[in-house]
Amino acid sequence: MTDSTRHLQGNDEPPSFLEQVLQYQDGQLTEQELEAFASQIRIDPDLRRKFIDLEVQSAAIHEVLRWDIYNDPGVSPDNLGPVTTLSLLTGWTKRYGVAISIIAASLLIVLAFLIQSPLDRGKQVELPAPLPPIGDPVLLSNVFLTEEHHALFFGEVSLTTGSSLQTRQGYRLQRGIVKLTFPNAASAIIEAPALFRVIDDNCLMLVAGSCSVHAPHGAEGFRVETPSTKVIDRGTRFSVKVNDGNETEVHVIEGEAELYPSLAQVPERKSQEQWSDSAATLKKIPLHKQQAIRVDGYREHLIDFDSRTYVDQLPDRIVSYEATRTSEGYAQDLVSVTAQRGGQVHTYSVEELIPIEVTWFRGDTKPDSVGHLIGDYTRPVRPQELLEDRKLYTGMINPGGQAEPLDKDPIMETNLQEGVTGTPGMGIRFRTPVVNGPGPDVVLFEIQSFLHPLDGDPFHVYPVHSRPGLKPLTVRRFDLTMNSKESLEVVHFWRHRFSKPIESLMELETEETFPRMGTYELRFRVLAVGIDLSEMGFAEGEQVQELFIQHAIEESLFQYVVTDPTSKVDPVFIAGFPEDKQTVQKGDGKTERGWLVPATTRGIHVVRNPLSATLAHFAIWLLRNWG
Amino acid sequence: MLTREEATAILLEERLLLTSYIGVVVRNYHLSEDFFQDICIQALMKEEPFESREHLLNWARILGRHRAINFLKSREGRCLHLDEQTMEVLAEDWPKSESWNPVTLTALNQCLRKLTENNREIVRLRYLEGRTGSDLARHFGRKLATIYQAISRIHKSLGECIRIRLVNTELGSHD
Repeated sequence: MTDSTRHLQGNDEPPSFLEQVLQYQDGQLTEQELEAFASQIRIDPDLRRKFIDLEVQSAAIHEVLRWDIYNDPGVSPDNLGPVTTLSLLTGWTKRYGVAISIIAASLLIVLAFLIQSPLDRGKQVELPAPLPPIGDPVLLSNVFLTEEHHALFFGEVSLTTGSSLQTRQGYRLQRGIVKLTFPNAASAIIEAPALFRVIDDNCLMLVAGSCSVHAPHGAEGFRVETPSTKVIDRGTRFSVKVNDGNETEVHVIEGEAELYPSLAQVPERKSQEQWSDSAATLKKIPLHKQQAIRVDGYREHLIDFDSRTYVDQLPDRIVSYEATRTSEGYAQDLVSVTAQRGGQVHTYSVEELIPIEVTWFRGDTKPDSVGHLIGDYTRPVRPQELLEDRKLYTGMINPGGQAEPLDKDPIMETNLQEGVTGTPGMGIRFRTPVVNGPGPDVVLFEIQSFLHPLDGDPFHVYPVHSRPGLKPLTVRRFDLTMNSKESLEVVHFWRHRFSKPIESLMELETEETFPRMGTYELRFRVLAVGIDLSEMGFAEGEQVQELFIQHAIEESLFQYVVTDPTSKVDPVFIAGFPEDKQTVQKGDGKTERGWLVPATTRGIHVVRNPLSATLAHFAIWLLRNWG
Repeated sequence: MLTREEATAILLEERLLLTSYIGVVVRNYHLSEDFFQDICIQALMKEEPFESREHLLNWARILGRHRAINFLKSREGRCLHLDEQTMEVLAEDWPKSESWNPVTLTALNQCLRKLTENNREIVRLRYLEGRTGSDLARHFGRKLATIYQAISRIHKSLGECIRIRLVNTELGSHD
């Protein structure tokens, strides 16, 4: 009998202690209970031994269960050992000898629990079936969150695109912007910070914050209530703003609306019906196009109309993407990208996107323990393919960089004889130039786990050749983040690490690598962000052939441990958007075929033949240069 | 002094016991393994050699413990886990690798197969999927206390089963 099994065999110990251990494992003990529990463990050696035994046995059960899941005779306890796995790593012994190999072996053994065979790249890990969700019944409305950008809700409530809102739930939008769509096609765009509630399928309660309402034909009668007013739409667009003191402002952009102020006059609101009856007796203020009013609790007064209070759409951004899936639902290859550009939503197949080639790569001055390549177990002969292909689980990660953007052009060569040292980072060249249009012109995908910034890793993008007016752009938040429902979980991948700092593409090809796979619970997701070349100073219509990318964190703060809250950007796919587009989804949901050309003001035009597109470009060029 | 080869070999031998120790803080076996992998890399990169096996294991436990606590703090702002002093006391008594060798794990594997279907499902949900007692109580439509009692009984029966199997194995080897 071993020490570790002795104390779990009998029935003589007080069951309450083991149950307390289980409660501790679940994080169920209160602070006070935890203190008493810890004290018992410190003082009583017998209880301490029982605690240890149960903890170790629990971990052992976890381990043994994984053997069953992955059904790999190669990692059964009978043949665990470094000898088998060492044979896979012969190249590594050249540099660090047996030590590296043993580490590699240990990691491979861990990995071997996770996959059926380390060298069988075709098979995906089969996950256990999830437990069906169990929870309280919810009161779902027919109101849906149809769009969001960087939305973050405070507290436990969380909504993502496609979520149905609950009628009895207060939603506190802490950050970002969301669009709600009601059954009668009315929509409300709500900006953070805001507190709101859906009263019913025809009514929104805005307790604090700003919203912009569009009620198209057929949605007349749609209501927005605030703590001090009720606005009934009569076929219009209007904005409502409620500040902390319940002061409400309403601006009517077009059409008409009716305002019922001074809700305090309503003696008691017990039901929706009673409210409707009472409201009918209140003073009605008709509001017309380009009128604005403020209700401050005591009185109402007309104020200057401000059309800027109305938000007609969410910002241009990457809206979603599609990818091929494994049978378990994990993303593999990119199929299409949907982006809002100039207010219009377009879906591009991956074939339509402008591919890149990687022209330069250099990591930071210290070896990156996470590595620089991700993909299959075997590194391709030309590692650049990992980023140039359409696979979302392959890429070139952790290019070099620093917190602040460079103030000079990146150098993409190293010539020690001439004292030239290349700039840490990654250079890319588009196969055909990207024409700067409205909204995002380039899309960058990266992989991320929940251990690292949920908004994505910050990075700098530079023009390769500077000129007055051009500037680097630092991206600190992805359009599709870890919190976005549209960010898909990706299949498992191997990370290739290097024992020395990587200083060139050649070294990525030739230096020995140490593949490692993460644990399956840390599912990685693929985030996406659009890069608007206009934000870097490029003129609309200007062609851009090359860009340079760096991570944007302080290297001295970066450690490879999972506890570190920062991490370097991990690109898995980069491409340019094409200038022309065959099918355009317009704001009203209809589609139109044609070529997109940038407008001189915000937005784009759609023309129906390429000759018109060329002429339009020429006209814009003339306007810019001689206008 | 331990060579790098010896140090890494010891860490490999102690993997289960180190991950279970880190698991006391982080209460997630997958995360424990990630911390363990980081410990291995740190050990490899450490310039000063370890004086002894005990020195290495103490270092690994402290490093793993601190990283787990930092992780919980950075993700959750606070964490209710055993305090530093208790963790140190536990570290002194934490078992050695010989008590949980491949033979013991094989015995555990066989004992798990002997569990009733219901108990196997409980074990699977708790220790593979990481479900809490409350999740299981809702799933099975039982009281939370009943679930905890059931899990306690399963642990005891597994402990007894392992003991018997190890005794039989020992007897068999002497035959």
